[in-house]
Amino acid sequence: MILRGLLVLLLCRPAPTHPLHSSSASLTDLGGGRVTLSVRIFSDDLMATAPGGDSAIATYVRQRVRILARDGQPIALAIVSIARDGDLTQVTAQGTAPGGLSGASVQHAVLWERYRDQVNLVRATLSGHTTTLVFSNGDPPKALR
Amino acid sequence: MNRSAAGVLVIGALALGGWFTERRAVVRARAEARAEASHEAAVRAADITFFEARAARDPYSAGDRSRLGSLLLSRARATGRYEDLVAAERIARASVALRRGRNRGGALVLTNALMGQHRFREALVEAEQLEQEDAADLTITSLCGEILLELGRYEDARQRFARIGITTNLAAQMRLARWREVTGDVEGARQLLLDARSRAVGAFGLSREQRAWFELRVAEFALRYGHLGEADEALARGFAIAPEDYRLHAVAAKAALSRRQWDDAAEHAGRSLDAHFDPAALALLAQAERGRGDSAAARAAVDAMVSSVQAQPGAWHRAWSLALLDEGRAVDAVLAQARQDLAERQDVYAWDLYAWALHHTGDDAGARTAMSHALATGIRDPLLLSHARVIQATQ
Repeated sequence: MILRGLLVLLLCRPAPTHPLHSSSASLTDLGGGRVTLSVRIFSDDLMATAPGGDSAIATYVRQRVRILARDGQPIALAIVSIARDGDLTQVTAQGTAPGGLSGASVQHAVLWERYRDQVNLVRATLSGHTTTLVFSNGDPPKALR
Repeated sequence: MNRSAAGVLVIGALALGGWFTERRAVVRARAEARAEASHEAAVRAADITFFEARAARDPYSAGDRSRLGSLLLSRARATGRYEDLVAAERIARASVALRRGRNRGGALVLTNALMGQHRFREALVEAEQLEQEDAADLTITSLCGEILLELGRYEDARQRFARIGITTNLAAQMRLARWREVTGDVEGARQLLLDARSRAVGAFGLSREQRAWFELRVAEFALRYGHLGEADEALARGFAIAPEDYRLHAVAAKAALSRRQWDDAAEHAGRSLDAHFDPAALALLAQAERGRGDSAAARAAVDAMVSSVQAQPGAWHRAWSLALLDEGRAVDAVLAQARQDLAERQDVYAWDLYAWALHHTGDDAGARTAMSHALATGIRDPLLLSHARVIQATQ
């Protein structure tokens, strides 16, 4: 086992890494205006920002990740699960846009209050087509396309 | 229906059936690869927990700390997590402090963790100590050579690589390939990479992530020198092994950009970012969005890249600096970074970045001098040569 570990080391060193601040989310259109949102956040940051267990996390994510219907009204999101995967926490939510997702927009603003350089991503899959929306700190909601 | 029309329909149906069968096989293989990669990650996480507990129970165990450090390094490589790299260094230092002699593993973890943080001078001290302990070990000789390459100490590196010759040592072979590329022997480097890749397929004890890394290196190299077919082939092989590998997706995005396949490029850049956030991938996404005419999305990606890079406390990754220059952003800051970088390391890529930054600030005389240093080893990297051409043309 140790020999295998050494072989690992000798072959390829890690790519240079830096303390980058980012969170990624995926948004999937299930049809009929129903949508699933899955947000991944580093657990240590999340615990520091939303202490108080799962209910605090659910409230925080609902506040900071918003899907807005065509008329600008937020789509109510029900938290389906909160799961830890290594050092990440994955929060999954579902909601329904009464008029469908056409003309809807999204904003992913987690941890902006903690890191000025926090960059968040939303991978949105609508009608089988996936796009990546990029949010720098302070960006307004962006149209789903 | 006449006979020939029926024949066309039959052949068409067979072809379609064959396509569906092949497509199903690809999808199944990728699902299996994804499941296996996920299993490997779970096993590694469990191993980390196990060795953390052992190290906590036994404050005198250098071996447990060495093993824990190597696992953290492995995870840092697979996920790009900075914290794992820092933890690997801390654990390896503890291991080496407990026992320097007969603790090659601990010293190697430490050397690699330092290299991953671009602290090459400190890494060289560790590697040279290992070299003193065993001068005949080609892995260590090539490790020293690689660090010297990074520092731009080419004469010292030449002495190390001259000792290697023909070898079947995978680590030495991959590092020798880098030496050959930097000194202009592109075909020699390519042959070494292809040979190492083919032997890595059957090598004992390599994880999926490591086997994918060999494909990544071949793909990057092929793409750099314009061999798109070879790059595509290596990428396909890599994705079959590790479908979610963020580094493979980044290279696939570059390949798609070179073909002006904007949707593919955006998809691969997005998948790379989704798996591991890297400002360089934001630059790729910006190019793809610009290519497909979405200037607002391109600007958002570039703004995010600038914000993210400028917040970094230490030296910037060179790929980030080049991307910033190509976008015409933070040019003075990049020049300052390039100067600082050059004070630490005088390798050809440091000179190239400095030359390119000088060019972007209008100092083309300075850029020409810097570029002459960048090309002094005989390197034929098309990116450096294109920079040199642009700088020369402004005379």
